[in-house]
Amino acid sequence: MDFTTTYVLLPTAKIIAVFIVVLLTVLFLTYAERKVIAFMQVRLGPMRVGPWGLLQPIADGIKLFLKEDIIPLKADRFVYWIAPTISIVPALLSFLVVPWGSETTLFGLAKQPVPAVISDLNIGLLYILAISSIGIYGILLGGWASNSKYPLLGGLRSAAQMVSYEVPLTLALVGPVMMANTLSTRGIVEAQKGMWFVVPQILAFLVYIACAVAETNRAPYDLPEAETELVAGFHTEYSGMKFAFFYLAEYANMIVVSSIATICFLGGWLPVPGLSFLHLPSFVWFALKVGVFLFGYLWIRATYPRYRYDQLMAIGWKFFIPVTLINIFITAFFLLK
Amino acid sequence: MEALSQFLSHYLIYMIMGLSIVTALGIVFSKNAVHSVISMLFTMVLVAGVYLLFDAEFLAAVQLLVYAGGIIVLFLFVVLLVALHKLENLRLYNTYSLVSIVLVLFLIVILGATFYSMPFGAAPSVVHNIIAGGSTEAVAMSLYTKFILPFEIASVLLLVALIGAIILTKARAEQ
Repeated sequence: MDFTTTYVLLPTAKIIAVFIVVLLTVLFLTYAERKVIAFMQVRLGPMRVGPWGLLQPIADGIKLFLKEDIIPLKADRFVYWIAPTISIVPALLSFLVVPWGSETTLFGLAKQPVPAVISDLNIGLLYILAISSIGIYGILLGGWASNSKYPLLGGLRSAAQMVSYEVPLTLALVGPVMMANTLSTRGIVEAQKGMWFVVPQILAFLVYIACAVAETNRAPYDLPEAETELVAGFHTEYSGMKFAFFYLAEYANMIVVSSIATICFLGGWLPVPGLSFLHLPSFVWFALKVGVFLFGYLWIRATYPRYRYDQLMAIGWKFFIPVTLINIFITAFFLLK
Repeated sequence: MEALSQFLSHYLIYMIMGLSIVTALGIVFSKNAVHSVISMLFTMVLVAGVYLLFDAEFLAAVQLLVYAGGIIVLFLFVVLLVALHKLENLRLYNTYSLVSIVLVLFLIVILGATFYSMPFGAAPSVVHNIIAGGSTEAVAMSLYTKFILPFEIASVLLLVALIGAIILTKARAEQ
């Protein structure tokens, strides 16, 4: 392969493919959320737009595009404008190192199969953690720039929550990294050919799920936008496309953390043990596993009531962090033996 | 083609360095403290970019994670909790301009002297290909073998500072 193909054409094609798939997934995740929660609450959910309401997300998108963009009079216009951007860019950048399959020809674009990841960085996992830690600013600044009480409180709460839960989240991922002996996302998946890390790292896995829900500000940890006390949290004053960006970032982050869970604990694109006779393409396995996680998100939201703020902080600092540290010691002990 | 990519990455470095100086000036000259913190965030991200272009990808990730993701969030917390509109007319900034000019000039002289006396080796070969090698192992090996003592001392010092901060705030809360 020549230089232009390797360094320009293929990455561009991969970036466009990933971008389209992520945006479509976000679009229909909003639909799935309404439908799943409606099913669990014995309702029908959206039914009017298209068959079974399937075109509802597109209608929502058009509505958000055409909506008037309101900026509060005393808002800090520059920060108000830049906050949604700061929150969406890291969410989308994280997909740089998410491997969605073993190898791909991108539907015949590449002559020989190439790794199905935009760029297999050797700091892969660290890169995702570093990039996603920038996303906090979008929420914090958006809350401040609105110059309004509820957004500011929501923003501060949200930032405190995300900073706190970043610690156990990172520590939970140390276990799989120690076992795989690499930070590369592809390397971690390939290290699970014998056994998925969910078996030896069950402790880290459970903590990771809980922290991932908190990190994306979803129920039951959705304190930042607790409707009953904070109206809508940090995005109370936002409307139109700026609001859509915050929304998009939240759902993109859900997909990112589900992908990390799949990569680090559930063997990424590897087939489910015992089901490898199905000969499904590797990206289908990956999509199935991520889909299970996303369904879990919706299930949890429909099931559990919201935490109280002090409970949230107490469980984060006093339970999750010690558990993940113990998990690291146990892993190190068995690796040294 | 190798020459082209070398050329491009050199220009990328100059661009990122130039931008980081612009945002660093933004920290100093912003009237609004929140804008200063945002400039600082961009400076940190751009500095991580410089590390990345010099093949120190581990350092770049840690720079983002610790400075951009951790420390500046705390800065922002403090700034947001201060009622800025009450301080607007107080002229908090630029009050000691003469003293600060002297100090800055002094600092420039010291830094310049250090810079010129540094025995820099050959310029590091700028490689855009961060996929091949790995600086994580290299950093870990030198941290945990050659520099184990300074590393441990630094971690104990940080722990002491941490405990100290907690004790100080707790004592005030109990009064």
